[in-house]
Amino acid sequence: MRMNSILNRASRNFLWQHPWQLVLAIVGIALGVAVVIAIDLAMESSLKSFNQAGKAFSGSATHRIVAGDGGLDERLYTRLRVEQGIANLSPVVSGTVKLMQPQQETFSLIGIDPFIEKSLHSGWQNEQKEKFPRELLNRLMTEPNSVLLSEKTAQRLHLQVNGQLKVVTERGPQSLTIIGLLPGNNAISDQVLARLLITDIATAQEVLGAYGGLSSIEVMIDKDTPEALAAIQKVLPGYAMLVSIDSQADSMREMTDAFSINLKALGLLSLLVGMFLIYNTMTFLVMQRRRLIGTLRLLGVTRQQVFKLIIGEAFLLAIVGTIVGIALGIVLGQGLLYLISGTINALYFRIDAASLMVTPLQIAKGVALGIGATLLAVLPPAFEATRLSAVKVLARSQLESGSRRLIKTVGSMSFVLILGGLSLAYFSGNSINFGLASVFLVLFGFGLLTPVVTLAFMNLIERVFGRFLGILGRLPARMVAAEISRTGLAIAALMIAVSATIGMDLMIGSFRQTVAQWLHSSLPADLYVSLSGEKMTAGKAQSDHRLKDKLAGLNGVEMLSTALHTKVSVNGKLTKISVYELNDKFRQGFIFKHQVNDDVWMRFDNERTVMITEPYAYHHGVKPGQQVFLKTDQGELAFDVIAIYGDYNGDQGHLAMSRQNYQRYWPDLGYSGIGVYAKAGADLKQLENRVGELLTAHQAVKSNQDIYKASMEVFEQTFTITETLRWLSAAIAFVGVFSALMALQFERTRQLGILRAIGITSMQLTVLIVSETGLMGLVAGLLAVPVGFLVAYILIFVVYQRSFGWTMAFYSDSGVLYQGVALAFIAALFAGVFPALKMAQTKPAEALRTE
Amino acid sequence: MKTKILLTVLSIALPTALWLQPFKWPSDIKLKPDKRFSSTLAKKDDSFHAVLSKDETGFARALKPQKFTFPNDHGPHNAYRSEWWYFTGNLKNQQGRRFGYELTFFRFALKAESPESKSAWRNNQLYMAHLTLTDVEKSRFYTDERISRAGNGLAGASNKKYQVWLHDWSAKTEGETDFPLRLQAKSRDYAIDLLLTSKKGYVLQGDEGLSRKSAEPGNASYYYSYPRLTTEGTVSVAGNSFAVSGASWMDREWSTSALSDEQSGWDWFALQLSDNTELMYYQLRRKDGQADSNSSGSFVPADNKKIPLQARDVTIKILDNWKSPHSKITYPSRWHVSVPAQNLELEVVPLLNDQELNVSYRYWEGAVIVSGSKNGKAISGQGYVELAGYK
Amino acid sequence: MTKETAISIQQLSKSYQESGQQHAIFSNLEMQVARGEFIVLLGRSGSGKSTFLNLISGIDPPDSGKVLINGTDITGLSEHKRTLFRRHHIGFVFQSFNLIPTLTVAENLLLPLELIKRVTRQDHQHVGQLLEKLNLADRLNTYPDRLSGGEQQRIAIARALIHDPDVILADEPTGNLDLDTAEQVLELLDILVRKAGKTMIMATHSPEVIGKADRVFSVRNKALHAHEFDS
Repeated sequence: MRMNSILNRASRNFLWQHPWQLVLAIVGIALGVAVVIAIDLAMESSLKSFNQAGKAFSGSATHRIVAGDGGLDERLYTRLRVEQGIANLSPVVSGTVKLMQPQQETFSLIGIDPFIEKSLHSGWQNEQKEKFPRELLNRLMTEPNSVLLSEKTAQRLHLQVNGQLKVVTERGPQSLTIIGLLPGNNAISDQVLARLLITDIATAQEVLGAYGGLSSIEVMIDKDTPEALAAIQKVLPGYAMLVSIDSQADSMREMTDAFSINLKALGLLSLLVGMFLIYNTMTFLVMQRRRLIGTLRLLGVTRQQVFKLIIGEAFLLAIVGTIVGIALGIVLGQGLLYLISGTINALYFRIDAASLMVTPLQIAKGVALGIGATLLAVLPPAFEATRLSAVKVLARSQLESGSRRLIKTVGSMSFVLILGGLSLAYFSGNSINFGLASVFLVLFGFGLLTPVVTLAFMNLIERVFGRFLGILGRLPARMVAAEISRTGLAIAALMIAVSATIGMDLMIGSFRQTVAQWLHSSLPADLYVSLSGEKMTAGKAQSDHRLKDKLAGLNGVEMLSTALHTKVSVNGKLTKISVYELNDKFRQGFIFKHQVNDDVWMRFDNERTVMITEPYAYHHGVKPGQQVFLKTDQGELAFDVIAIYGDYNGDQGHLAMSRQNYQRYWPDLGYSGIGVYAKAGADLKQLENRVGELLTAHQAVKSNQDIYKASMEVFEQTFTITETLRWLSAAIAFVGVFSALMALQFERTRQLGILRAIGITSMQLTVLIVSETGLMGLVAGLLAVPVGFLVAYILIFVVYQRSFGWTMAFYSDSGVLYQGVALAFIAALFAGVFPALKMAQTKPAEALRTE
Repeated sequence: MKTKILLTVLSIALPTALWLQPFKWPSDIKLKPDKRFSSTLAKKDDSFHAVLSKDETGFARALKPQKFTFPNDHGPHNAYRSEWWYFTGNLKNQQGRRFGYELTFFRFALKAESPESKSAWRNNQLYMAHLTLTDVEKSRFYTDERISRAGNGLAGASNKKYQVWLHDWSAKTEGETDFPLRLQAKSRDYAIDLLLTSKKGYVLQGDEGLSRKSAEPGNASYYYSYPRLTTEGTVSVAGNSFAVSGASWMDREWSTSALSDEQSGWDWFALQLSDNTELMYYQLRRKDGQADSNSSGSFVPADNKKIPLQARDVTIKILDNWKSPHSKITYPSRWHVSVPAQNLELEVVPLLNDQELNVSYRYWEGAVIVSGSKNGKAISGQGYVELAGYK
Repeated sequence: MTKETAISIQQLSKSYQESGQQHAIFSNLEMQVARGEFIVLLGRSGSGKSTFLNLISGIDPPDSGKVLINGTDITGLSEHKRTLFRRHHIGFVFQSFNLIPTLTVAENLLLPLELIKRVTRQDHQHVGQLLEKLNLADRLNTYPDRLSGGEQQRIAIARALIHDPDVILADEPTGNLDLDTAEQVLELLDILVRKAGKTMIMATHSPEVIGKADRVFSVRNKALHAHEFDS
């Protein structure tokens, strides 16, 4: 025991004497853990806050009756309550209002019936019993335009009870009276309530103009009364669906699955680089102590003890690194949360004000990851340490010749990995996980190949430039090659990070090009009038038709096209559907993904048919010639799928249907947008102004250019998170290279001291070291280009197509390649500067003393 | 290049800045307990009463007797603040198993004026209904409550024919005439489906239907009763259905204000005697514990010619008390009622002590049996007693 | 003492810091070394022999005092100037790990030359001849890690002389060698240095050297003590 404690001290003192290495090792573990944890936290929190928000509203509801954008007929509720005698239902009318203040903040206005069964009361109503006497609920019901809002929000907006809140809705500006404040008594309810106005259902209908409609009905069904489910199903009209709250949450999760897997892959990439950092540090620590370990062995310390010593040390580092990593991950998660919820908002569904939620499970995952990865990374150096014989303290050179052999073996192994990765990509079928695994295999394979390539490259450099450079000039390449076991790994890490960057850059670039082309072809009209807003607003359909007639009558308008975006139940799932009234120009904008017959448009307009987008076809395995079942007011009807067309608007996929078809089976909801085609030679600016005059506050006219720009902005926003994560892993790679170089220079202190004694100036020494690291960066960069290409290729044709169902064309961009090489080179150069300066400043007398 | 490096730096710096923002630990996350709707143990909430005894402006008041016309007066009187349709009855099946039931619809106008609106939900009339069932054999008392606004067809009452409903609970005529009247209501564990036929017609209580509750003018209600409605139908409880028959009592009352400040509540007796006569009497209690002089009632002989009763005509002696295990309130639980002018001496005993309704508004309303003598001859009977305002 | 003075040490003091305390290594050292003289420094490990050599070479600056080499006061020079001075005028032989492991034997020998001038064909030939003299001609393109300790030290000596410096400083050059090899190396040093007429200071604790030295000093109590021999 006593022996062990002295043993531990002997080794620990060494750690304290090398604080830089200690710090870098911890940073390595911490960064790897942090990124993985941050992504996990942010992703889970986004989804959870969505569910929590639902919970806070639906109380203990188990099911929900939902409908397409047109909402539910309020008489359905009466039918369920009065005729069917179904209890525990809660009607909801919701919509968004904008505050009439400079920022135009958006709030959700939620209209409820305060007098339903207590079990379905919202969270705030249940918790705040004393603070919400019936009196207040009575006022909510009897006073028009009365609302409740959270205390925090009231404070923020400087509002008081009985104060007025000015908002703008579809129906123009309105004034709401605050009759009470909702005290958020915990973080969740604060979050949920932050952008919410609670009101009576009558007020909600009046303010939103949603007369006669409900947004949804929350349902609580006891497990022991399943007949209520059947009773509800029986009276539901075609446009409505009964979904269980759980299954809704599940489908949300499913929807974002591909997105989250992709993010997690990026997190794992960071961890991979982080593991390199750990490995590097531990190897360094073992190498540095060869003498110490040799001495210990001589004194009779067993191999097991040495092994335990190394592992124990790594374990301590892992614990510290993991704790720091988790803390950092939470901070990082806070930042990512904003980006991730932004993307989820843009791509999938609306999340209001998500807040980071940390659960013990996620912490445990982080701990397992940090400690597991560290121990894994320390195994090779630990084994190496125990191999050291008691008497002979291995000379570096012998070690290096050993590692050269190893590198050759590893090099041939890398081919196996790369080939395995490629064939996995080829045979991975529909699995995103396999697709990503193939990317990892390829990256890892090339990572292993890196040392071999590096040796060859250094040889080449010396052959080509050696004679001009002189002995000093040959030194950098020699140093890289001589310590290939260390430099090779640093280069591999940098190469992996940079090639991932290049790959993703190329992929995003290709995607951008593809989307841009698609947008160009799918925006044939000159002007677009958007009639977005609450489709539940009474009389919307009629006013939309009036507007369309007026537009058609405008001077300079050649023709119109219309679109309505809504949802219907397709094969039992509520699915987005676009209803089109097309003209020839618009028809040309459809990019079919296969050969179509000439009669496709005729059938589209006149038969019971739909067209499906590429992602829909992919996710649901539907092909032209098959049928899908749509729930109509006349029951479930089969529609023929006649074509698959390209569409990059969301990854869940949707259907397209002709307006004639739609109107036969569903109620008129007006339009979401009207495309205006100008006559040849018409003044577009003038036409835009004239169209603008016909519109109300919630309608807008935009040129196709504006829409194009706005769409591309959404595209860029969607990739912000990917971009950020990519740079994060590049940053970790940078730290890795930095730490490797620090270790490397430290190991050669004496060698550098001799050089100084011979008469090499500190300036020359700096140049020497920076050249060495620059060379390393250059190899990494050059190797990263082909690997990046390969990664982009797999990402585009395997992973993204599998994840999202989008096909895209490969666009290579030489700028990206130059940038990649430059990135690797400059990063390595930068990483070399500090160790170089440090070495140059070391007094040669001191350098000579170390061994 | 520079911007990308800057981005990298920012991506680290930005989250660090966000560190200042609070984040949540698991302990902050409070999941809502699953509050299953309990039909009998819902928490009592006095605030209803408090709300209704305040602002009275804009409401009509019961000042003088009015002529009633039917079916119009079976319908709602929205100008008055509160109103009820009260059905109670004692039932038996063929084997003699006894049940008591209460089905009451209350209407409360939360405000006198209702603004014009295109929304079907904009409505100030709030309906509340109570359904109770007393299963004497099993000594079980079931209660349930429904509340809904009148809008969107969810609850209401009709002036055209007898019809009052709240969700799927209803009392309505199925033909052209007001009677027979069908009562339908179900809760989770029990239900009633009864047909009520008028045997004796209605009785206008108080002064031609104006029932004064205190000396103050306007503290009165319009009040009529159907004291004996032959009842047949089904009672379901705990999965079993029972074909039952018996007699029900219906009270209709509407008012804007009833009790004065010094009154605390009332004890109401509606007794159907075996000689085809009925006794209705409500004793108003004052906060000082004394019986209020405005207490009144009526005796309905077999020929339906009502004999009004004043406070001085009736003496009620409390013979026993019962303390509710739910609310810890002590209620009287056995009475001696004597009406000397009718030579009537009755002992009134609840079929079950625990017939306390712990719903939004707490009161005791229970089936009772009656035994005693009239003119020296033994007489029996059944009925309902309501004890309101006990604390 | 009419010979030209190669090294002149005046009032040289050096101390080091340890746990906040100043420990003097030398104070007010005085020494004059004539051109071509061979000085041996004896002393126990840690007595300051290496430090003394580092002070002379300018690798370590003194706290006070002067070191003149061929009349140049190197203590007055900047670090950079001192390094450049060292290139030209001083050759080093250390106890071990003398050679740059990433350079071949030839490259190790050529490096000092490259630092002071353009390396020419003659220089390459010179290196070849030198190695032949050392019986290491076949090791021209070998990396140092393939050589034995004695071979390495022989190359190190050759490197110290290759650029024709005025002063050779040797820090226990035989410290890591067995007796026979040490003998060979010392022999070599003696021959090469003496023959070339170089001034040499060697720190050692092997007494065999003493016989070859012109003067012997020992480092004791922060000062140099000259040994007098009975001739």
